[in-house]
Amino acid sequence: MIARVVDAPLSVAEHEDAVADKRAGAVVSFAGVVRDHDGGRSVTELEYVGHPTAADVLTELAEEFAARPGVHAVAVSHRVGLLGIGDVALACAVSTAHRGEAFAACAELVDEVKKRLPIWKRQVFTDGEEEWVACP
Amino acid sequence: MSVTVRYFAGARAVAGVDTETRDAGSLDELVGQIVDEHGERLERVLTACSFLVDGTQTRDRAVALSPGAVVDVLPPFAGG
Repeated sequence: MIARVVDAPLSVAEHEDAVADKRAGAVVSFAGVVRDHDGGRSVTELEYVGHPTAADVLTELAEEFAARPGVHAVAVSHRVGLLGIGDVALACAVSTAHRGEAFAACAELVDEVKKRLPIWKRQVFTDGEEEWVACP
Repeated sequence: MSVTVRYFAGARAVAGVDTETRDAGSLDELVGQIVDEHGERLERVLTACSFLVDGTQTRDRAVALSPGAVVDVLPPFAGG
């Protein structure tokens, strides 16, 4: 099982390989990618910072999903540090016997990561302004 | 009673410090002190924050703080 918070480029293919299982008929993967716009403004770069417990929380999440009935394996990583447009911030993959379970588990895993993983995002816009996303 | 406050992300940006030491017996008392010190911008950010008191996440400001407690100020998560 992969469950990492890392300051290095992420490979979705590595996550797909990590969930390979002879019983699996479906592997669904997801890449959360840095886009060049948000709320109608142009974005130049993003910085993600994590709480010291982020890796533990991600491990907990991966174990929770891996224990689901029908799920064979889970791999998930979040990148921290300074990222450019097109870089992968979140990579995950899930393997199951049938595709429906894999699509559902992967989508829910991404939702739970966004909800529970203590990681924050600073967005820098082309006009030089910056903001911490979701912070009032 | 001395407690350590650690600010993260947007809370750290408006507080202007990573860490500070305060004397407070409850989370409510602590929040009052840090708002007095760092002002309205921190107060606004705190409306969206949860707290990690010695490793346990809470939004309940009535929580008592023991001497030496570590309180992390956590803005809304924004991973993915």
